[in-house]
Amino acid sequence: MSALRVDVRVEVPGFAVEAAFVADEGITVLSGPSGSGKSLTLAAVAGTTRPVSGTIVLDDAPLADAARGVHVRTQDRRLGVVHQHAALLEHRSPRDNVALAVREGDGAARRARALELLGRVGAGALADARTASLSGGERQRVALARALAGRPRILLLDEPFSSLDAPSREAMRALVCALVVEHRVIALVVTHDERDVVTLADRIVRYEPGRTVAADGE
Amino acid sequence: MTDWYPLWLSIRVSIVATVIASVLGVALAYLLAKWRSRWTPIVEAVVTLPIVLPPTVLGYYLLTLLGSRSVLGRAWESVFGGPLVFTRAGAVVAATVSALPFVIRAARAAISNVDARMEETARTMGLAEWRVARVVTLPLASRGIGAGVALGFARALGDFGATVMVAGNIPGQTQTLPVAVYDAVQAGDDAAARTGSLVLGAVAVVVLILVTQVFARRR
Repeated sequence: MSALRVDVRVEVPGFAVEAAFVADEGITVLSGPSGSGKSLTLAAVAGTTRPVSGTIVLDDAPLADAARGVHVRTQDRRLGVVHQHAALLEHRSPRDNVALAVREGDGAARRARALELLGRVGAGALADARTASLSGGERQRVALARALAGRPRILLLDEPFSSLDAPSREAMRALVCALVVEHRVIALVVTHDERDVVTLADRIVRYEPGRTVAADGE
Repeated sequence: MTDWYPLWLSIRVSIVATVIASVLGVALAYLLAKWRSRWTPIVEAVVTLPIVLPPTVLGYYLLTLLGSRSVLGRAWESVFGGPLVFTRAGAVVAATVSALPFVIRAARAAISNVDARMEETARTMGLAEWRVARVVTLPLASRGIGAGVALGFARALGDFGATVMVAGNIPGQTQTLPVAVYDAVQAGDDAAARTGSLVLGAVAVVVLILVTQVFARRR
């Protein structure tokens, strides 16, 4: 079956989280108090952290299987990631930031694709702006374009709107909803803002400190 | 009339030594920053040694390691047809080893300070490790690396002890400016000693201004 199945225990010094849920295409919101392990779950899906036990399975192929020592490299997981702070490369233009994530084609094709994606997120005019001079909302748009550039199967959004003012937050929510449908991705959105849950979620995974409690819509 | 050969030689030797020390130093610093093992403290101690050792002792080690009776010295002779020690190439080796720890220490700190999330994001974009290093890590660490390279250049230009031991003091061949200053003082040639010292002092001041004002400034 085509979906992302997560059933893992992830540990970092001083903290552990047990997460179990299934996410289909569309938006699955991971919701709960800060420090409950939502971001750590995303890190395990991204492959920047190895689960100590359990499995992460994407479309019936394991991304991580602790018992069998399976750990697909982050580079090979077909991910797109947007963090709370966009983590753009300040020494490269927005267009370059996006083009770096395009996986197919030569340099010119990558740059053309980057421009197309920037246009789609409403940041086409910023393609050659100085990255350091972009506003918070503009940075998140560029980060979103970059996250989609690799034709990802999974889109990971970690508090993507929390540093934005109310109007840009509304606009970004609408944009994310539209893009998730267009690109047919499995999106995991980490948030502790109930408005995000209400406006975005196709499915909700609730967290309490250290574990997931229930996956709605199952 | 002032003999400008020592200055000209010093500049050439320091530039070549700085280029070699930068390439080697940044590569080593990257490995030290990224691959932590129980051997890293030992490697770090060894590469820092040139800062702590008396330059003459460092020179003595290099002389022993690279002299005509050593394995490396013989290997050099079989490839290049002449000895390495007491030549300009020897001066380059002495300056490179003296500069290396400054490049390594600054670059290592700068590379470790790069936000790991930037590198992780680059991996999620599908960039292979060497491209993460080239596109993300090294550009973000460039100021710290630049400061280390500038200090390394100043150190290479100013080396006396190691250079005298490895390259000797042959006027017109291996006599660098710091060595020429020493010779001038011994010979009572005040004018030459003064000119050489002023030039070396001025270069040091320029490098320090560069390090504190240009490279250390936050973006």
